Amino acid sequence: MGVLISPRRSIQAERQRYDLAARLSYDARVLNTEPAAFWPLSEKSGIVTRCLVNPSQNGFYAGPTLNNSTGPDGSPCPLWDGVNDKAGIYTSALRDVFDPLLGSIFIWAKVNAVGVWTDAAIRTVIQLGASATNRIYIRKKSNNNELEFVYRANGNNTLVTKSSLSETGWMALGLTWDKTADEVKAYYAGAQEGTTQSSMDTYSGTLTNGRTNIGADQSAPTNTWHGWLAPAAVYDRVLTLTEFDKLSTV
Amino acid sequence: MTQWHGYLAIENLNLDSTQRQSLIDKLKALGPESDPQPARLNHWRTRLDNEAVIFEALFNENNLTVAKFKQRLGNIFGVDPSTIDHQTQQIQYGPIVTFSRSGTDYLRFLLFGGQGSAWLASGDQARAFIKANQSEWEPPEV
Repeated sequence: MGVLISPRRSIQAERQRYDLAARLSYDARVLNTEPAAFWPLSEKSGIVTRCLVNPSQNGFYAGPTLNNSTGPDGSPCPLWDGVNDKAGIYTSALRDVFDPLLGSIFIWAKVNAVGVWTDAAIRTVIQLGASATNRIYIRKKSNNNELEFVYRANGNNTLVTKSSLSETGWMALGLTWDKTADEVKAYYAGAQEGTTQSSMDTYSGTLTNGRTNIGADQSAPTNTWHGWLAPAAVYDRVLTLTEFDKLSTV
Repeated sequence: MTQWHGYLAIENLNLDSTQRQSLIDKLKALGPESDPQPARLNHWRTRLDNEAVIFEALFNENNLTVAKFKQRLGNIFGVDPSTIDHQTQQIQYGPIVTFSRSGTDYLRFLLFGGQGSAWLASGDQARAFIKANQSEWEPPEV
């Protein structure tokens, strides 16, 4: 005769399996889009920023408060303090898979409070770059209530600005670039933001440690994010609108 | 031993590069050797001219006293710490201490939010300080 399990224990076990499956499913959905790198940012402790695509692309946390809140997918997420926090994601492995001529970024961001939108500070969500004049980033501008999605090459910006923002919930943000097609596109909440931009200048250089961070511009760190950041992925291809819409749905 | 999680800043006034680096190296060693939270491990940001640093960590408050700083400066200068003077002021961001010797100011130390302040309150003052001194701490917007 087998061991009898009480109905309550079996319901609890089923609920835990469901919760675990629900959490795993968003990570699995992101992985199914075959990113070149994917950092869930869901660690509860430690300094390693895990990359689920390749552990050689693991980064490191310098300062964020882990497991501070719940991300859009229900996983733990860290808080950036707007002073001196960053996740450094530069590795030689990432450098070798990153293509500054063709690619996409996807990341979730949330401000600490509505006042961040009017704090007159530049706050970086994510940046992958070679230098001050060659980098790709998403950031809050110093202008009130604005985000910008930027492909910066040879010192010239091809960009999209989203204005009139006062969002205090999670924002799904995306950016694509295609030098051959001469197209830069921004995505917000699963839809293309603004119009497709062109006239991309010529990008030069490879990723550097000083310019490749989540939640900060340079490694000093400067222009740090103030709020929470959640799953971040980088691609070596241009994601479609449908793909952004699916990634933005939790 | 009282632990305090907060932010502090130092500003070099007249230390030479070797003295400055020696002090910064000592300050970087403060805080826990390990902690599950990166926020409590010592980490910092540097002013654009490299002459000031904002640190954050879970500090042992005994390491943040005027006497301790005088001891560090005494070691750096190779002099008796009692020959180092200090002046304390209260500014909007917290207490600020200026250390001097023989009439020359060498170092400022600012404890954001003041002794025993909550982490959030200390952070609020650090953010306000950076905002007020944005051109010195943040690269220009391009």
